[in-house]
Amino acid sequence: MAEEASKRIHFPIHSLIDVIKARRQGLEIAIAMGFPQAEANKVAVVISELGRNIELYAGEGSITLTTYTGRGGYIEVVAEDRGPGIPDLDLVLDGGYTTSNGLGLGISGSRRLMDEFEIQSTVGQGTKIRALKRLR
Amino acid sequence: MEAMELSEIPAIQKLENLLLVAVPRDLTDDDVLRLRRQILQETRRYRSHWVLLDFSRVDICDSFFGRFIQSTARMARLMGADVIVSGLQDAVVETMVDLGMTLPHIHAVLDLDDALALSRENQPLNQSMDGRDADEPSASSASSANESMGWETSDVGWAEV
Amino acid sequence: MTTKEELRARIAQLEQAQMQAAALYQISRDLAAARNEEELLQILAWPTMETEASRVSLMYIDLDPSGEPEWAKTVASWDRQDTTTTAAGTRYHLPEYPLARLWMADPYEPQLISDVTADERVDEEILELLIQDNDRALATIPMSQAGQWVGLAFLSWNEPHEFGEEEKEIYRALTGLLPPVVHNRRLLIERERSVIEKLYEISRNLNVANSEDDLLQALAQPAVEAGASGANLAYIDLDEDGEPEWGKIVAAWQREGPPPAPVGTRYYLPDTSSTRTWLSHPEEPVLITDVVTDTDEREDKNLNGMPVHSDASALAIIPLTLAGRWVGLVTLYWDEPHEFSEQEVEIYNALISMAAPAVEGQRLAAEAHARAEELAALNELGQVLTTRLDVEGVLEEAYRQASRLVDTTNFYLALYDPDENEVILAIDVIEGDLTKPYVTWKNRQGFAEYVIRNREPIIAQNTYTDWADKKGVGVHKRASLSGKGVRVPLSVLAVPMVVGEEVLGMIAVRDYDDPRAYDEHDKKLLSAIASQTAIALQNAQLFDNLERMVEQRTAELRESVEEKTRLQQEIIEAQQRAIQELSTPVIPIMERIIVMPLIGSIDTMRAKDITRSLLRGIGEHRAKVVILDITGVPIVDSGVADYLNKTIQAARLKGARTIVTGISDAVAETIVDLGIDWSGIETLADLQTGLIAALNSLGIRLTREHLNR
Repeated sequence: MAEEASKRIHFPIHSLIDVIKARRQGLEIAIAMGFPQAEANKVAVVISELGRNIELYAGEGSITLTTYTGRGGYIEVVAEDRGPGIPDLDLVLDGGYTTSNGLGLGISGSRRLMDEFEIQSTVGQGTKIRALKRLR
Repeated sequence: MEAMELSEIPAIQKLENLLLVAVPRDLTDDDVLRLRRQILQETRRYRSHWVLLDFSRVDICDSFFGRFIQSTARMARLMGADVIVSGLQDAVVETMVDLGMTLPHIHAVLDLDDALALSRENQPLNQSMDGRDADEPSASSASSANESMGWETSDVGWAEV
Repeated sequence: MTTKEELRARIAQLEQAQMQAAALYQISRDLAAARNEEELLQILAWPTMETEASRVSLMYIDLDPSGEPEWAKTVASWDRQDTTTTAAGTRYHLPEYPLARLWMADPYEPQLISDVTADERVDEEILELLIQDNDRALATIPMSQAGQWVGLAFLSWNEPHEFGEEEKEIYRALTGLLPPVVHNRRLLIERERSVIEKLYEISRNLNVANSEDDLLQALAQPAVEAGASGANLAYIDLDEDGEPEWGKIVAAWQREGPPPAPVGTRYYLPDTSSTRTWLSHPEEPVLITDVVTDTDEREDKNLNGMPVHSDASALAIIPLTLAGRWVGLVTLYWDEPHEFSEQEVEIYNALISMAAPAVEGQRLAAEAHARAEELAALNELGQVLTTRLDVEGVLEEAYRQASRLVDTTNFYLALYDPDENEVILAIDVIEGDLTKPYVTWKNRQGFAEYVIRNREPIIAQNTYTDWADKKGVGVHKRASLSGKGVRVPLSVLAVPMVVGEEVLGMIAVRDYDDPRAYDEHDKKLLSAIASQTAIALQNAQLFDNLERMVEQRTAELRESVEEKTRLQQEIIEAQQRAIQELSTPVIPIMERIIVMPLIGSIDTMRAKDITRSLLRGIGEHRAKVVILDITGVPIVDSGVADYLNKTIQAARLKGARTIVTGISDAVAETIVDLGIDWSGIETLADLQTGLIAALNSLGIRLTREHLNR
């Protein structure tokens, strides 16, 4: 059995290149943890979506990956920024935004891909999104 | 990580009626603009009827990619060309479907061979073909996922049992 | 006659008249001073001493409804020989009695009969009666007042008698002097009788009185008959020194409109400005004929705060005292000035001693009844509380039961946690609305903290805010419901909930209108409730703890069992996954056609497996057509339809077209009933048909004959 270990990796996001870096590493980490290909792919896509949002709306922020490889293991993605925040959070979460608006699709799509999903956002102050996928 | 290898390896090639585009693994916004423009240029140059977007190298396909595919398809259609998507990996496909990105109006094939077969057997909507039935179903019209792409005769023979 | 003789005669006449006048004057004075009928008779008989009358009688006459004399009753008589032929009390029915004809011959003139045998006014019948009584001469003195007979006197002689002039004068004078005296005497007797009758009636009513209303009705009846416009009865509570402290209206009546002081109104007597008027005379009624003009030593006739109508003009206050101890008070009032008749005054005076015992008795009975009810309620409280073992239930029940005993419109209950030294507000009732805030009070100096710390109940009232300030207790202000301003309670009663050495919390009630809402009795009641609640609460908490301990143990046990099962589960899951991979095989039947038969129910996990299996299969076999056979899938609901949809979408993205076969009738029905949209999905009845279609799509035409060979 793998040792119980908790690791945390922090990715500052200033540009799309940082997003690409983060998602690629995320994919590798997820596969290394034992996630099936498709599930690891979802983690990477979530990192990509959230990272793109940070770059697009806030300019800069961070993505932090936390992994836990014990029993009940998981990988957690936390995307934070001090951007303009999300007004109409309910609309966004329901996917009510049209596909032309990347923000909506990115967040509602990400929610579908993960097991746990949380948003904290204050208009004018910033956003923090936390998503978690469990190893089964 | 380096920027896209567009300038180094010719990622767009013409093959018969097809314009082959090997979509790079990671695309930034600027990369997308450049690639798209290039695709349109080449389409016009070669008067291609088909643009094949091959995603064999893409292992992370997010909604951004989805938008890229849709916009490219729309623009290509304006230029008289239809878009085919190929080479989508299993994991990518699963994620795309979960995201709700099913690319409804875009052909999808397994690989280059099938893409070629498709391009040989069908003509896009705005081009008339000789020797074909007038009421042939057109591949580029809005079709449901499973619309028959068959016709009466085939090259594939089958021995009668 | 000569002039001198004439003059002498005249002087003699005058002297005679003078003497007569003097005699008459004497008689009239004596009559006025007569205290009873006997004395009247004596006055009558006096002039007859000289005349040697053998009998004198005085009778009163009763009239019938039409005003005619009906009965004559002897009220006094005198007999020279003291025989009792006409005893006092004898009644004569005048219309029938023969002698009446003689008696009643003239209402104003005496009838003088010198010799009965020789008088034409005496007929045979009358004569017989007279001779029987040995009456030979007779004089009747009629008494009429205002045209009506009031009485009669007569004198009789055994011998024929000559009536002298003086005598006649006297008799004539008496017809004028006697009637008023007799009339008044009779009125007095009537009145006395009626007063006695009235008092008797009141007393009887007091005896059968069952309620305060009955009492008031009995006591106020004479006043009501005399035109009173309102009446009320108040009980008086004494303080420790025996002085009146509280007055409480227990019954009220008003002729028109609602009473100014309804039942339940309380007066704090040391404060009330009109107490001096009210309680000034414990031994006699206070009668004020006209509030405005009545002047006597009571300067302070302040009606403010008295339970009378603001228009009251006349007042009667009847103190109810027993051996000098105040028991209660009856207040009667008129809305116009009222002259109290002598009868009224007599009655009111009599009521003082008559009513007090009855009122006291009623009050004691009522109090005993109330105490009994309280005891019963407390008993029930105890019983009910023991049936609840949950803390919340105990608290709710305590509030409910307390509401039966005290006014809990504004009530709160707080629990005390000794470990954290915190007070937690568990129940808060504001104007009857109950909430359970479970708010922790930290660093608060309120009544709750005071009572819990000191383990002593307190009543804070009237000078409440002063008291609170002195004791360092914070005043809990509450915004009034109407939203205007902040209200501070005027009275608070708080008691701790104590069991043995432990303080579990406290209970309190507040009043925002009455500065003296709670007394010792209320404190005792609430304390009783609190101690019952404390016991039940302790039990519930112990039970709670016990439950929690049991739960913990059970959880611990479960965890260790879970660990074991988890390991087992992991093994099983791995096996299952392997099996699942086997059970969702992809069968290539021809080039570019694969069949995937699904067997068993499809859940989320399995659906993912199926999709992955299929995608892998499409890639491996380069399938262009997938036949997904669901014959073996028993349940197809909207969830399963959804999974299938997703699978088909995924297959398409890999360039494969999917045909679903094997839909049973039942499944078809379900899909339609559930409104699942499968219009985009190609479905065919069975594998064979599916196969033909698959081949078709690849450009291969086969007929059924081909397949069946």
